[in-house]
Amino acid sequence: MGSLILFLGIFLSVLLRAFFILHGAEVADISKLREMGEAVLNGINPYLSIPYNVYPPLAIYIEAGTLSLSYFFDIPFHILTKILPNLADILTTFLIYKFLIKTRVKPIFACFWSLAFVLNPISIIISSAHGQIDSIPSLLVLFAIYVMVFYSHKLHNLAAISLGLAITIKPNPLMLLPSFYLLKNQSLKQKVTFLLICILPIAVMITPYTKSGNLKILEGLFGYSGVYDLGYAAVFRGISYQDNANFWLPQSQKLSETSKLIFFTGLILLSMFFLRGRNLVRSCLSIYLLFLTVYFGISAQYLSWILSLAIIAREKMIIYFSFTGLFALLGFYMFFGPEIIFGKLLNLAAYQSKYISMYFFGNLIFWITTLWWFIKIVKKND
Amino acid sequence: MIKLIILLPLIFLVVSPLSQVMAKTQELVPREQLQSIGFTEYESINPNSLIYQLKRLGENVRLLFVLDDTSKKKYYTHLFEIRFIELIYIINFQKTGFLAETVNRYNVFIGKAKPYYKHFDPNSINKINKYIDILEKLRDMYPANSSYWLSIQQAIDSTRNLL
Repeated sequence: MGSLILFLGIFLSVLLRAFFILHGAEVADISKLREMGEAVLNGINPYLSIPYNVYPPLAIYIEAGTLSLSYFFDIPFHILTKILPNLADILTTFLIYKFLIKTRVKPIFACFWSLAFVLNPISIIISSAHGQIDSIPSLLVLFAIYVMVFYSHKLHNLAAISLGLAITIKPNPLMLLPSFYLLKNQSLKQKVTFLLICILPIAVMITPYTKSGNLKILEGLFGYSGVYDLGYAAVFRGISYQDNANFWLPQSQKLSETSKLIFFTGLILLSMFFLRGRNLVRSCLSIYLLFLTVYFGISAQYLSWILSLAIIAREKMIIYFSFTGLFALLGFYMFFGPEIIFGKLLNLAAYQSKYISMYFFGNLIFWITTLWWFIKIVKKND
Repeated sequence: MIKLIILLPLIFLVVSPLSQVMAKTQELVPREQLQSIGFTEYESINPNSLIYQLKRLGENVRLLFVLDDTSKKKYYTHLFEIRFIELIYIINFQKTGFLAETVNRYNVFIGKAKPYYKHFDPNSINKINKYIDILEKLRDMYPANSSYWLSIQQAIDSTRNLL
């Protein structure tokens, strides 16, 4: 019975995702992903030719491969590029189910928790409408956690490879390294080996781009401040908008740099007083929640990082997070880019003042929820 | 979650005055001068406010319960005055980022309200003429034939249509 519900739920999710994918358009991040792919196919260093590029090399190669397939099969790029992230979401669902079964959760509950991921509106929107690829590294992170929780004595290095591969696609899993490092029952040798194996794939992949001392790629990957689309930055933007419809914040660079400092300070404090010996899933979740709460440059796709971790931890706060996150995302898309979510379905103009309220209040409630959740998780004893 | 629901009205109470705080730019024409030619008082919630949509929602909900023609005329007269005051706020405090949409809203409203202005009494005609005077005074504070000047002129032309 549980399996039937799970497969029906996945089927429904596939239908929803297919709907968004087929009615999408090549806008916003998808057009940027295409540019990255085009640079590689044309033999140009994307880290020099594209000023905004901050994706690690494997992500760019994935897009180059997708673009090649798009030319070969004559299928629009904006459709093909969304296949892998959605496939990653489906695989994540099965991994969540497996994880929960191994933690002795009843199969029927494991099914519902798994469906809470695959049918999660944030997951569907980010992978199928927005078209971002964050679900691929999230799957690899989840796999690394799965291996560390159940097979660390045999497959320790496999977890490191999985996490390392995740970092070669998007850099955010780097911030989870303290959680893995501070896990108990690991010798110092195991910890150091883990770190080295994690860093090896990204180090190998960026080396060709750092020839002749060109460190632009490092600046792009690790100096990127993000775009301040969601979270408390959105709240500031909403308040500032009332002045004269300005939605660019003055001093945004300063705020961004300050928030980086706050985040790293918070991460150090978390590492010193909270992460050591804690449940790995909750440790990783607390780091991501700290990031979403204090960092200034939150993009839409960052909300998807939380989902699988929260679900395998069976955190009920995921319901509030999903609800408020959806509200925040809709406000963001309706104001800044309705074409991202509606694609070819509707032709709505962007920057209409009537949607700024939704953007402001959605993000205010979302940020309060994230902060509240972070405080709860830190106070909880595992 | 219940704490969050309780927190929401507090958030609205904070946000509402914030839109007034943001209006610390200088008035083009002092309020007293406008009042001498027929202006009354500014609205507390204006088109630049984050809770403006709530105000509009409230008006539309109230409109659903206004059924007979006499009450509709009275309510539309009241709403017309509010739209006018909001427009004056946006023009006088130079919230030019909101000018185009406020003028559009004002013009659309006049179009909707016009059927209820078939029979004028001298007081209404006098009031509309005062509105035109105020708009013309404020229009001339902007460079002639600039986009803002033209938008305000559109509002003046729409107001004249009521006569």
